[in-house]
Amino acid sequence: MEGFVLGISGGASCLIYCMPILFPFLMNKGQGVRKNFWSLILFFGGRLIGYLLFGMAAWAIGSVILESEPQKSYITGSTYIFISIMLLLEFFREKRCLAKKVGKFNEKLQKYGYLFPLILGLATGLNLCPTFFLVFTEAASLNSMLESVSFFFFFFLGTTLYFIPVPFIGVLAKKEELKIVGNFLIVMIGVYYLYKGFILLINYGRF
Amino acid sequence: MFTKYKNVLRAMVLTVPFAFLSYFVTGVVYLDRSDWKHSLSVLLVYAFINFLFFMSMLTRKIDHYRAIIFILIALTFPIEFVLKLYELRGHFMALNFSDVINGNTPFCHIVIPQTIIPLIFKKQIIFPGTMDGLYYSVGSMITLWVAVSLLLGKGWCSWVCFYGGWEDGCSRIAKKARLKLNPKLIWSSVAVLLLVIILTIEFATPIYCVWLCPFKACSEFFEIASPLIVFQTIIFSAIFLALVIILPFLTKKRVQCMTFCPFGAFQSLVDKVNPFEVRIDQKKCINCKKCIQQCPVMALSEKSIERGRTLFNCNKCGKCIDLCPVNALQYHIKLTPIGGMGATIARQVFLYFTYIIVAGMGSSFIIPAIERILLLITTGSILH
Repeated sequence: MEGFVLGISGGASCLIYCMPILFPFLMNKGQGVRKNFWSLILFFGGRLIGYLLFGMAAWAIGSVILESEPQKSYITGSTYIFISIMLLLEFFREKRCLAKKVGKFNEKLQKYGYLFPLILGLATGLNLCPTFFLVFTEAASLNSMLESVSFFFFFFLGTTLYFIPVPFIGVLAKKEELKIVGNFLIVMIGVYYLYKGFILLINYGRF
Repeated sequence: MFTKYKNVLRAMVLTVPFAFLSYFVTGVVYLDRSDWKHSLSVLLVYAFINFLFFMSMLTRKIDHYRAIIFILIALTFPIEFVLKLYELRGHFMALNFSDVINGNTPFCHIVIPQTIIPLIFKKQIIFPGTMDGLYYSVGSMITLWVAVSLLLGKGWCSWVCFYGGWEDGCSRIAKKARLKLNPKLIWSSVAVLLLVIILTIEFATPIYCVWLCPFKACSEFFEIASPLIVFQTIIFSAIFLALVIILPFLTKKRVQCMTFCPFGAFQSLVDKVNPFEVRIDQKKCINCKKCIQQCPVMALSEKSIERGRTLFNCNKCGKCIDLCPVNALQYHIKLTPIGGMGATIARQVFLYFTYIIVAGMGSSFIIPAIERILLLITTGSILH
């Protein structure tokens, strides 16, 4: 229950950290409210998997992982780069390209397009935001793996409430202009995360 | 012959109210005869602005005379701004860490959306400036913005913005456009606005100012003290060169304003609350498309003309109104009928408001700049 309360109290912060990824993603798709809810459910599915993995990691290795600055930067930096690649692929997925190889690659991306929100959710679930540090430290102090995982699960439930209004952006789906803005935004955010990821890796990495 | 005199008389009559109002706004009323340099600068600016207004009334052209004063403000702004900064802080354009800590960072209108949104969400003013007192305080700039937005809305971008004249000027150099832009690009400024808002809420820092603002090239920028700042300097210089100088020259469009400025996109939303807009009288329109081709911010399309309206990013510069061979495009006061006497009244009221604000802006930048030039000629020093 403590995880749920923590989720409710820190959920707004989670929303602020996830919105830069989720908002352009949904805008770029330009789909209606119902389809947005499906995308959000898949996104949550990925996020839950990420949280549960961290729940297990918290029990197995404790909070050591968060005490080392380079390790934190490696995790966050790689996640940012991964998120950026996913966002840029999502943009290119819907573009037609005359070059054969790129066209074939796009076809493959189209085929597995439904997995994109799930993978993005997983990546944001692995993202180390400030609220997450608090939850991880708390979960690391618990006695069993089940307790640690369920702490993360309830935290996930608490934060989820804040995301319910997000799919309603689909109300404006018929506006072609919104999709155009989404196209630009997803590329800008993608480039931004790519830069941010590299900066984190370069600052603390070995190269 | 009689028509010519009638036109001159009409222009003179219409200029009289403006001459009276600008007498106060430019500061002629407060002239100190003992300071001849200041007096001469004020009188020159007063006469020049009144001349432009008179010519606009006489020729019934808006954009040409607007552009002259708009470009002049943009060119004189850095002279006054940078030298004033030197007098206040003791160094020129390079902003150092202690300036930021002490809040000695001037606040400009482009930061407004980045300040208002976190203020609503986080109850914080994220900009390291002062609320009042110092040159370009947060309070004075927000007051100016509210007042002008209520009167002109998006008209800010072609009449008041003290940066816009740079690209407006560059877009007028070439005779023909050598590059065409995709009309969809007008939406990218909205994406930049959303990007800036999202990241500003997340990081509580003015991201646009730190990373992207091209006009740091003519105002101030961070002192180069680390590789990161070198990187930032390369980014804003490249954006300035590309979007403010080169692309406007090649496309004859105000590229930065149209595709990149988050304040411009924000001002398009604010535009809903002001009384003026540009409308198309479809009964008169002959579909020549001159306005679509020549609009400097691509704020007209065939669809928008069918609807009798401009697109969201129209900044009311008046170019399309000047170009239209059948006067189908006109300034319009919202909720009034289109065409007829209403159009003439709307145009006149709009021009009075804009020129009065321009006279105020001109007195803030052009007068001190002329004064400094006179100071340089007579004393050899440009500083007060």
